[in-house]
Amino acid sequence: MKGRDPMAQEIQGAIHNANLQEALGRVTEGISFLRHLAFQDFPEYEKLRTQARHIKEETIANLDEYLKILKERVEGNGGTVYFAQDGAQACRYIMELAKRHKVKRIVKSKSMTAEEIDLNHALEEASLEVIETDMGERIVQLARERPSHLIGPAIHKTKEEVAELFARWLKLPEPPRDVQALTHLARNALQNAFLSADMGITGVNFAIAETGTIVLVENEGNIRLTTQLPPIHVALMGIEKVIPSLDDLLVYLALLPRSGTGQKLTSYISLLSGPSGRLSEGNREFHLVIIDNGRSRLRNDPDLRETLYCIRCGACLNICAPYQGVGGHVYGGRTYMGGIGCAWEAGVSGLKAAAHFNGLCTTCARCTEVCPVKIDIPWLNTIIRHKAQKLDSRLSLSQKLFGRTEHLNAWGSRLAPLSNWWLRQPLTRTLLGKLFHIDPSRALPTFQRQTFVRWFEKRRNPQRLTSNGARKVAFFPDCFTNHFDPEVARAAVNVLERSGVRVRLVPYRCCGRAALSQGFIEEARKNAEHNVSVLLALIDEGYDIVGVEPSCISAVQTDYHHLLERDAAEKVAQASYEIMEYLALLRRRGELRWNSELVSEQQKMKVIFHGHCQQKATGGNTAVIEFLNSLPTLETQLVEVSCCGMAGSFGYKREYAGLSRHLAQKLARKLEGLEGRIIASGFSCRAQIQEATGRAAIHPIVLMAELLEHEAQKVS
Amino acid sequence: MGGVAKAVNNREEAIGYLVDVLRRHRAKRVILSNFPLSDELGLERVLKQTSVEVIDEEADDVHKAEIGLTGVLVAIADSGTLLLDGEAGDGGVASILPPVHIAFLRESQMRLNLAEAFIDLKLAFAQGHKEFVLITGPSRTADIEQTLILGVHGPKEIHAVVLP
Repeated sequence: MKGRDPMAQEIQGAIHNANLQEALGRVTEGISFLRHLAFQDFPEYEKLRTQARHIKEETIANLDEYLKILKERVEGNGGTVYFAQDGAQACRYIMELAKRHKVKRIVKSKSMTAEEIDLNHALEEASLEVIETDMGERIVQLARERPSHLIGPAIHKTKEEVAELFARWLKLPEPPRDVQALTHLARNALQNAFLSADMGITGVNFAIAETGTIVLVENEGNIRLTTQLPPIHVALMGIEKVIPSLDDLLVYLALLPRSGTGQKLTSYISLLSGPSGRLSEGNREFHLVIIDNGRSRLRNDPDLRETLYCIRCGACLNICAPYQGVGGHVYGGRTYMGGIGCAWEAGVSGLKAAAHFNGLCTTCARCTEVCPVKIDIPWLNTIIRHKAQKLDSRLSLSQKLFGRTEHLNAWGSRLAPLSNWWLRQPLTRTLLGKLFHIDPSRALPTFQRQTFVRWFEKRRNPQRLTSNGARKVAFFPDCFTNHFDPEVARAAVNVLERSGVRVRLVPYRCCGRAALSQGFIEEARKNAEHNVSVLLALIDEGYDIVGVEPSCISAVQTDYHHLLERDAAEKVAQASYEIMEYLALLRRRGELRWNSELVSEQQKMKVIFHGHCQQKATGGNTAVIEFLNSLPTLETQLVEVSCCGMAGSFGYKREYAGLSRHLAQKLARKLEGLEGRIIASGFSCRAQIQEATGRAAIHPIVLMAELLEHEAQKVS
Repeated sequence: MGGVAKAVNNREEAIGYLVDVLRRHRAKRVILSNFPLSDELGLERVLKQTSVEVIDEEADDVHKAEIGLTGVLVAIADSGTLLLDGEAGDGGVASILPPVHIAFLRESQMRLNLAEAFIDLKLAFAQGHKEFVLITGPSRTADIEQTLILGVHGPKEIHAVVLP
């Protein structure tokens, strides 16, 4: 197709690369699992990540002061410190240092910061030999590629490809094919490099201001050799790597290895203050090069500042569904990858570079569960999307449509079934594809003529009058449910009223999720302001706020903190629940009776629960699972994937529909052998499951309503 | 963590263990760091008696050493970690270049966890010591097809000999 989006083509290439797919699966899901195990019996986790966040907040706020102390202390330890404004300055400093010492050969350990400033290229231009010594990084260097993962740079290469590369490097006619032998070959060759190198270059994981110490975290030992064997050690760090004290290091050492690889500690953690290594004093030098290169730009932007808190563990990449689907070469910029990488690129390479892959972040928020410094990566991506709107007018039609569905939905329902007929016409779909980038092969949801709100306002339900429980719920009917799936909201009202809860409607506006997903922050803020003023009044009247769509409820629970005054947002967040979370709360408080009375006559009903990403991120999902498990009539199985891949409008977009379906297939494979009814709280999750498996998926509250109805019939 | 912790009752047993490892690897050259416990145990004499050559860290043939011997500042029980203090003679190269690393320590140098070890670390910093390394298990990589390989750049084998 003419003018086809280049991103869509890159995505197709990655999806159909079988080697890459296997490696990505192994690494991302494998490490995610190890990480999960590492934190399983680790009650300090939440406390530590709060601490880790605070340390970064405080340090970045007083950055100049800490950098000054760091410089003084490193110099006091006999080292030299150089501040570089940008990559060019840093490269020049290192080249001149090399020239002064007549350096010919440089050994280097993995450093994303060196990648960022293209240091190898600059050194090679100056006729210096640069040898990467990290196994994965060496492979990538031999292949003349860029790393595809923060901690596994060569995960996209097979051992056969590695053997070819090593054969060329070491001039071997018949390279070994087994990994042990390949690694041994490289060990011997690299040992010669370490011994003959005149300079070693490393990155820095942390730099401790109070002692003037750099900290290096690794497993292979190549960083130790790089620092200990050559006479000159150059360490390169971004300004954000400084931490105040040794006590702070303790916090990060508890989090970084566990988050990165699921290890308690990595094999080697070096603490070096000034010159070190095998040579005697006077014969060795230590240079610390501290670069800004766009970091101050991030620091001065209150919305993007938290990017600098990142400790580069890679946990956010491993859990990220789009990253799992395409890897860091597609989902990445010049240097950095994934959602956090987009924010890094915005700082170091500029907004345009970031905007190129920003669309791959679905803002599903799974990464926020695992970030050891609690960076709100989806919010960073929303901000970048917002800023990038000024760059590119081409996408705005599609963004406008997906960001402003509220009014369209109203007309869609009013005109149903005509609107549905019209939307199914091939000509319409071609048009929607061309103008709004809606994938023509995706089934669109069906408008319901009787919206939930209409039903609620018109109904004459005696129960409404007789429920006289102490609990009052103001029901928040989100746009999706109201126009496309009113049955779910009706079920929720039904179950609430049968549980003795009085229900009224919130005179709502769209929560703002749709607008946010397209980067329309100001429109989302307007809606949030309206909703919060209404909700606060209801909360003061003693109402709890309940809805059925996790996307929308989580917008109220979390995103409003970014949009509005903190106290008001927090008050609303505290009183808002997705319906299943709310039932779980009632159960915990002993205010629910029917749940334990629902006992099956013969055998338990099997159900498979697919959790919603944003509900997992808020922690609400845990309560839902607990509630489902408490029902004696159900046998609930969980299906665990990072994300179903639909993520609201993401899966409908032409550029991403292929990736979305690819991710859906992962879920479909996991569902394949499982028997039972599929329940899923998310509207778009259900659409995705239905398309990918041909099996129906219902909201758990619909199942609850059914069970209660069944029970009522039994009694009568 | 893939290493061996050997508790011994006295000097003789410690030496016996060392000699066993030297024999098993047919070691001809070792790097011997300059740590206090080495003098107490008379390691240099033992090596001379077993005709093992001691190579200096600065020597050009330092990479020919088959085994590196060091002390520790403290060892950490819950993660199986050795904390080495460069200034106290634990050697930057002895613990990383040879394929086998043997560390000697006393029971009194055992700590429960990283936080406790950091108390010792801070004291050492306060005394002006500047370079340290935490070692947890052998050198490892999983960079090729996520196959775990031990002993990639550093030692494949680590022994901690714990004296009373």
